[in-house]
This record gives sequence, structure tokens and C-alpha cells, in this order.
Amino acid sequence: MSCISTEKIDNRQLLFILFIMRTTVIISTLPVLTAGNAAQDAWASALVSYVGSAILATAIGALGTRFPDLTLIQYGQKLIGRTPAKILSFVYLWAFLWVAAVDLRIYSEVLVTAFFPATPLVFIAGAMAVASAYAAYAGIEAIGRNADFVFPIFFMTILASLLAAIPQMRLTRLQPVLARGLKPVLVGSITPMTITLQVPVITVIAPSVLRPKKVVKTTIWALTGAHLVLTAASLATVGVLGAKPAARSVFPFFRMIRAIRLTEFLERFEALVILPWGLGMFIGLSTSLYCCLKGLSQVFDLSDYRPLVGPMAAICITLSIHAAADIFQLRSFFRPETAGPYAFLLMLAPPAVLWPAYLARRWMRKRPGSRKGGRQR
Amino acid sequence: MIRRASSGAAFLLCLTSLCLTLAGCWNLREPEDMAHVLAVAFDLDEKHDLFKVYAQVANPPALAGEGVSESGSARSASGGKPFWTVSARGHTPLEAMRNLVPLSTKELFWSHASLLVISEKLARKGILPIVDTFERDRQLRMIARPVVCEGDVGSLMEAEFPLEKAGAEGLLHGVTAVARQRSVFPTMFLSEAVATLSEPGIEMVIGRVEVLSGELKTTSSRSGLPKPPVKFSGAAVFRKDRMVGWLNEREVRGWHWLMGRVSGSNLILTVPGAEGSPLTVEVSAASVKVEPLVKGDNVRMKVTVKTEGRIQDVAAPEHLAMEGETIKSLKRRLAQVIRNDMEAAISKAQALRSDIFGFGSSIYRTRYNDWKRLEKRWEEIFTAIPVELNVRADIRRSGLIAEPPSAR
Repeated sequence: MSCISTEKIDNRQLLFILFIMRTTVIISTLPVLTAGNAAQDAWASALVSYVGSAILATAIGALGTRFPDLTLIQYGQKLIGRTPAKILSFVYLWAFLWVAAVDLRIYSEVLVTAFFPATPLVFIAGAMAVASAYAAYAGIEAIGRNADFVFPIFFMTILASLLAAIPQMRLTRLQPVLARGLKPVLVGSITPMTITLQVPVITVIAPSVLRPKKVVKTTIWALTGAHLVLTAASLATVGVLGAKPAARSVFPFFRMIRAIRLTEFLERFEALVILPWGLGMFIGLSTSLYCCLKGLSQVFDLSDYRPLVGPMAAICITLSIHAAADIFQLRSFFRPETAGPYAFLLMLAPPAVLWPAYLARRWMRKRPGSRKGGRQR
Repeated sequence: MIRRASSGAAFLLCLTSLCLTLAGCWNLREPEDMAHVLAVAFDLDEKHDLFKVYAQVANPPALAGEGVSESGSARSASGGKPFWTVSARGHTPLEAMRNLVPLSTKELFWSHASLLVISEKLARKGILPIVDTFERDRQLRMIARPVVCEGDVGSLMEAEFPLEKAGAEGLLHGVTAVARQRSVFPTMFLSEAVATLSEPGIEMVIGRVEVLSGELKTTSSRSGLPKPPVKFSGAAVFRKDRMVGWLNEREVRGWHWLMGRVSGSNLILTVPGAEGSPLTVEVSAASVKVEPLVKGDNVRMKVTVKTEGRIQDVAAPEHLAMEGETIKSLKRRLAQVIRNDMEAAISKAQALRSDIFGFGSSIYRTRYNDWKRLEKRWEEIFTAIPVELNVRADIRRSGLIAEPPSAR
């Protein structure tokens, strides 16, 4: 293949990418609060969903560490044959595109709802998609460097918004703790777990990472960071707004920051939330687009994915507009009973097919010839 | 080279497209065409069953200073005031707000409305529609300070304050200043009131602004002194979102003790041994612990208040001997005064059947299963709930002098 395969990013950059992608989405809608019924126990849902997400991420990524130089599309072909693997790859390619579109839609909804009511959705989505498509065109190395640049700003602004919430937090609003049993907590953790649907990007990026064998570890560190932020954000939001007002918000974290006033001159901190959203959206969208395009080029044995960038961006914009008719559909989609099965199916289908194939092959090879390592290198 | 040029062009295109969003795109506005609403008030037009809104709009030329007063027409048109109050009616709060548009030469911008005035009439009918408007709207903010107006809302919104330029500024400063020294007015953000509204076992309290006279110009009274236009004291008590009664100054102080919100208060005690001659003790903070004691259907509350004060003046210094016994006696008296405040507040709240102290909430938070059982009958239980009041009040300081002044 062409020069693209020689692109390399550091594991640190991958960690930043994954952290930013995930934090952007879970902070924007705080699904622990708005989906399900965890109310003041949302922070516990955030912790439970961390454990679940880490397990899912391992299931998705672990097979890739056996094939450090190959993407899922490539090692899938070794395991189950060319055509079946290509068909299976479409599950993740769809997931990348779908995640990109829904993220884009949520981001556009924030801006249209809170800032630009008269601006057409397509314009906001378009502006972000064009910028992200350009980054995807430039390649994963460029996205990685962008993540390096964005991460400090992203992290500091989120941290500042959390700190600003402290004076107005009332810890009594977090009580009673876990009084209604574990069911609301567990149900509330499903939707944030579905956002692990972003994690399959590692199956495409892994070969471009300096230490591909450590990709799962990197992913789990990113999840750890993101879920710590999610836990803190749900504590702050409930502490400031109260459980019910927070849960009825479309964008609870944003509403929390709007309700903060430190002094007569220190108020209106929305920028602290909107800036990282925009930056995070850019990183997330460009990564999803890149992975979708890279995967697609491998499925069709193209030497370069770049000619596909424009069309894919257009598809992404269109899909983001048509993903949901209105905010109510978007919100009801993210209910655990709808988002859960859909996302888990997409996420787990490829590993569910490839793992047995891998284990069967290893077992087969051990029995007759007992050649160590074998052809998989 | 060509690839470089084309990617450069693409990059520029991206940058340019992002710049478009900075200006606000379709929502482009010029600051010159906007007028900032400083305070918003809602009233009820009972005859037509409509919401009535008052907006106090800043008049920047007049706010800026005196140079304008001679030449500027803005000042004369608004009656020389640095602000302009305008009102309209509508079926919903937002319709009323939008009905102000045809009356105004500029686009009203609501983001800086930092005071929400609710008329007594509307408060008694229920404030949920207003809360909904505030929570939904992208300009209105939950950092507004809510107050309930006793008296005519129109005159409150027209009121001018001797020390302030805009009336809304005066109201806002008044609301925050009173909290610092007196604890006779519950100062809070709307977000706090709304959080209370949706929490089980606690009712809302919103501060009262009393309009002192019908004619609210700072005209001189007979003594030649300018009259204060309003008074910030007392509070409206709510049951759910409906106002059910008032708390007077003393009862609000009791509420502050019970909520642990006292941040400055002065209390009058009588000097031991010289009954009838008063002295003032100033308190600057207090802590409270509310413990529910639930045995079956038998619910009691145990309240422990800890505070300390300092003697700030003595009206009859000659009678006060500063010695161990007197101080002990003063501490007991201080505790009693605080207990009286709380008792007054509790009995008023019980009469109004409104658990403004969150006794129910303390059960909900710490004994969830008991709360599930008691929840339905809570209003009934609250009206007869026995409250054990323990106050530990210390007097540790006596101002800059230790002994009272003496005349020979």
C-alpha cells in the first residue's frame, strides 16, 4: 500500500483521541442522567458503566493484539476468508459512520438549541464535517497531533467547569444514596456503555500505533479518564441542579454551567463547556471518518482512501440530519431498551465471529503440525 | 506542488467556513439594535386570565452619565430615567414577553435579566408556568434571583433607588446585601428554588419585597428625607408551586437557623438583673443538624443549632457586670431567643401545612424506606410534628471593649 500505512501515532496520542471522543459525547447528554432512571445515583451508573465498557473494549480490541500489523478487515480475512470477513467488516464500518453521524447531530443540536436557533442544522453539521473531513484526509498522524494539541485545552476547560460548580453544589441533593436498590443504577449504566461503540476505531488504528500490543491497555486508560470525568460531571450536575431538574434537561451539563454564578462578574461560563465540545467533536468526528474510510478502502482493495473523503463527509452530514426527526426521537433512541441492544449487537458481532474462528484455528494448528506461531505473523 | 496548493486551498476553505459561524450566521445581531432587560416581573391579569409581564430595560445613554441629559433624547423620552419599564399581556409567559416586541424600538435581549419578580397573585396561583419558561428559554437564566412582590408589581419595577442608577440594580443589590447582615430574607438563585421544588419532603421559600407606598418616586416625605421605595424582608411560603402565606421577619430568621443559613444576624437580649434594658448580640454564622427520629408512625425531629455571637452594644451599660455568672446567663438568653425564633417559624409553617425546613427531606435522604411509608401522609404528619430544639450559643467576644463604659 501507499504511504498511508507508514503513518505512526504514539499510544499517548491514541489515548488522547479516545478520551476526547468519549468524554465529548458522554458529557454532552450525560446519559447516566437523561437515559434511564438513576437520578441522584447517576455517579454510580457512571462507575458501573466503566466496568462494562472496559470489558467490552477488551473483547473488541484483544484479538487485534494477536495481529499487531493488521486491521480487523485484514486479519478477519485470514481467519474466516476474504468474502465473509469483508461482509463482517461492514458492521464496524457502519458503526463508525453511525457514531460519526449521531455525534455530529448531538453537537449540532446543542448549538441550534442554545445559540443559533435560526441557523439551519445542516449548516452547523456541515461546517464541522468539512473541517473533520479535512483532518481525516490529512491522515491519522495529523489527527494524533491535533489530539496532542487539543487535549490540554479540553482537559483544563472541563476541569475548570467542574471546579466552578463546587460552590453551588449541595451534597444533600445526592441523597438518598442507592436507596432504590441496584436496578436503576444498572439500567442507567447501559446507555453510557453503548457509547463504547466508538471503541472499535482501535481495530483500524492499531497497526498505525507505535506499540500495537498495548492498544487495549491504552484504551482502558482512556476509558478510566473519561469515566472519572463522567462521574464528576454527574455529581456536579445533580449537586447544582437537583436530580429531577438535571434529568429533565436535554443537555444537563450545559444547563448546570449556565446556573453557575461565582460573583457579579464571574458568571456565564458556557464557553468552558462549548469550547471543549467543539474541539472534542472535531477530534471524534475526524477519527470516526478516518477509520470508516480506511476500512472501506481495505474492503475494496483500494490503494488510497482519500478519494472517498468528500462523498463520505456528505453521507455523514445527510445521515446526521436523518438520524432522528427531532430531539424527542433522539432522546428516546438513547433509552437503554433501544440503544442497548442495537449498540451491543454492532459492537460484539465481529468479535463474536472472529474469536471462535481464531481459537479454532489455533487449536487445529496445534493438533496436527504443532507449528508454533504459525502463519499468523 | 499542485497537491500542496490544493490542500492549502481546502484548508483555507475550512477556516473560512468556520469563521462564518463566529458572526452568528443566521442569528447575526448588532449590539446597537439590542436592549438589555435587567429585571423581569410576572403578574396575573385575572379578568382576562392572562399573564402580564414587566420588563425593565436598560437605557445605556442615560446610564452612562450626565452628558447625555442635556442633548440626548433618550433620557427625556424615558422620563429622565436610566431605565425603561414596559409591560404586556399574553396567554403564556413567553407570549407576554413577545408582546413587548411591538412596543419596543429595539430587540429585547433577556440574558441579563438577573431578577425575577413574581406578584403575590401569580404566586398564589402557581409559579410552574414561569419556571417552565425560565428552564426552557435559551436567554433567561437560572442565576436570576427570585422574589415575591407584596404590593403593586408595576411600581416595584418603576422604583428608583437613591444609591443606584437602574432600579433593577437596586433590587438586586438589596437582595444580596440583606443576606450578608440580617438573615431576614432568603436570598437564592432560581436554580436553588427549582431544585427545592422538585425534591420530596421540602417546600419552597422565596423572599418578599414589600412595596412601601403607592407612589414610589423618591419624593421627599414631610421630614425632607427621601423615602426608601421598597423593603427586603420576610418570605413567601409555598406548598408545591403555590404560595400559601407569608413569613414575617422573625419567622424568616427562624427558618434561617433551622436551615443553617444564618450569615449575620443581630439579636436583642435583656440584661440579666436589669430586666427591660436591652443589649444586642451579633451572630455571624451558625451550623445546624437535623435528625429525624422515626419509630413506626411516631415521628419526631431533633434539631441542634450551634452558634456564637459577640456583644455589640449595651443600652444600659451601668447595669451590666461582665463576670462569669452574667455571661452564662446571657448565653442561656441568647439560646432562648434563637429557640423562640425557630418556634415561631415552625408553628407558622405548621399552620400553613408547608414543610419549608425539609424535615421530610431529612427522612427521605437518610431513611428512604420510612419515607416511602410516610410520604403520602407527610403534610398531615408535619402539622403536628414535635420538634426538639437544642441550641448551644456561646458569647465569646464583646467588641472592642471588655467592660461597659461608665460615668464615674
